[in-house]
Amino acid sequence: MNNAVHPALIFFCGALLLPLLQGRLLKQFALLAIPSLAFIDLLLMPQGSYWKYPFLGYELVLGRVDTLSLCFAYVFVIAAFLGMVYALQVKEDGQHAAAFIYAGGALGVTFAGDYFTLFAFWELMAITSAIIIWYRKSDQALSAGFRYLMVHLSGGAALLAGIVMEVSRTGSIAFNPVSSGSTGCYLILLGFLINAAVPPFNAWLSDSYPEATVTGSVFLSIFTTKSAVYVLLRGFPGWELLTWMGAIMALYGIVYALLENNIRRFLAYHIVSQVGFMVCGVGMGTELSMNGSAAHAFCHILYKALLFMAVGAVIQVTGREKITELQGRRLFTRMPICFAMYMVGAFSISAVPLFNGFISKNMIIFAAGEIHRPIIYLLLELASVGTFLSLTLKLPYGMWFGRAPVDSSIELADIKEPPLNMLIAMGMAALLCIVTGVYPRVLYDILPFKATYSPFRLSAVSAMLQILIFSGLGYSLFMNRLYGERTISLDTDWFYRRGAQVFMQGCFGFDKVRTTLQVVASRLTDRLVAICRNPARLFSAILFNNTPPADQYNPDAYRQAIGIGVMYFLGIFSFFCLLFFFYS
Amino acid sequence: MFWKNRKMLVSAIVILVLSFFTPTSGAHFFWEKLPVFYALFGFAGCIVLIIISKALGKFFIKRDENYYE
Repeated sequence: MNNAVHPALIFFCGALLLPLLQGRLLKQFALLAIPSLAFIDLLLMPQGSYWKYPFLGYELVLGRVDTLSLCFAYVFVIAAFLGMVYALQVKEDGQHAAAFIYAGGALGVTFAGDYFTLFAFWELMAITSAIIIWYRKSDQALSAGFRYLMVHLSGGAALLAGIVMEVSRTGSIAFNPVSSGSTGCYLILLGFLINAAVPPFNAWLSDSYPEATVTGSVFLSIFTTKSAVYVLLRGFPGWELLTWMGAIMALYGIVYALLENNIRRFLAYHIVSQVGFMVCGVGMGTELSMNGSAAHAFCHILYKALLFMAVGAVIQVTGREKITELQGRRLFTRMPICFAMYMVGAFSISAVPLFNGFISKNMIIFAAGEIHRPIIYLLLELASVGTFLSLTLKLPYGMWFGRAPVDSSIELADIKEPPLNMLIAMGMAALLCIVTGVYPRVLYDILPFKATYSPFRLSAVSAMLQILIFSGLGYSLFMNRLYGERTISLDTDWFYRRGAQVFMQGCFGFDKVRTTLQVVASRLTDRLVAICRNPARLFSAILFNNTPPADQYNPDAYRQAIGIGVMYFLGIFSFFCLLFFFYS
Repeated sequence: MFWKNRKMLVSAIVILVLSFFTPTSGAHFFWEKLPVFYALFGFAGCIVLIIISKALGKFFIKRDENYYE
């Protein structure tokens, strides 16, 4: 007996309903009621495979519900709720509607049992997320949104091409673990990797997320990359390639984060880094590592949403988003609650014991130990060091405290805590981070596989504390060299941003060659036309060095009096007569 | 500075001392059995990351803010 409806449908209906509602309170009620309804709906959904519809001779499966899809669906809906609480003060219905459809798209991907459904919801996510970016309405947001959309539509095209090849090869559209190494599989993988922001396809993320509105970037941080992790878990478990890509990605994000000046781009690079852990877990493919990936995705969504909320609040209140503009102002005295919430998020992402990163990230690292992968293990540990270093030490020092030099050209007066709903959203997210961190059972019970892991082993806690305290010591040696700098970092988007500029310049150059050619050709034609009109002109110009008056050929102009011909004849005739007379 | 902060210093020493008495029965690698390995790893890793990222930034990655305009 299935009483549930597809949760994506609830979000879509909500998005359509929003503009019709009158009154601010009613609207805000609806904003919170729709994710809550979706959550209740999720609880009603039994496990199994249902909502099957015939389509062009294939079977669409909209409801593949098992522990893996439910785990992701729960956190998507919870995070959508938190994001909506955070965004309550936003008055534009369009933003909320886009966020709802975006969330619905992510849920559709999560429950999709076949490639066509997956692809449809996948593209829906790409379009609605681009709309969320454009709602900032600045020039940078506009162009970043276009770049974002271009990358995602290319990824979608790769996915579609792969799907078509796979379907024609196997004859089935069911989305199941892929084992063969056919071209179609690799194209599908490419589509997934672009959404998971695996280097070198990572640049769209750090390029576009910081350009969205403060509320929009919370939603952006939740869905796209994590739904990509979900489809990787579903389709590509145990692919060795992913293990290495994930481990490198974890460090790649750290290196870029350490150089970053824009505070939201800083967080965006940490998404890359954290998703690296998850991709690595997918690649290892053991039950424990895949549990770790799912658990880490769950925890990551919570603490990353929290971090984006806290940082977004700073941007909302100060109107500044660069470390160089914020450093040295001791904001924590003006926004203490916000600061506390930020630190909860930072401790969670750094895997401090009793915060939720500790119980999920270490599961992946432990899984690497279990299958004896020393290099992967150490790379991931190094990435954890870097996470702590950058998010718990460097960024707070720049953003909240700092004896760093103040950029005195910028006045920041009148700074206070953000609106109440923002604080409540942060509080709820922080609470969830701590609850799952202190009592991991609640999370471990909904994980997809039956692998046991005990997070609070004495050796693990001791190792983590050693790492944290001594990387703090390392940081304190370099503290004064880690101020913000007014620079941007080149990432792989250089290739298409510079590439596009060079291409455009090339086009202009080509156009110039074309215009020159055209000018030369038209001049030649003009001459030719003039000559054709009156070829006699050419001869007279060459022979007599003067041009006859008429442009058009006029025979009368060259016709001479008949007497002249007679005179020539008489002259020549007389000449011959003389010749005969003298020589005969 | 770190070593001037007494609380941090004490906790660092406590952690180091405790690491000698932590059971290492479930260890997968030899280094997990070494008492202060993770302290050294954290310290060295931190410095290595800072140096690598600074160097990459200086020579390859960092550009002026108006680079793309």
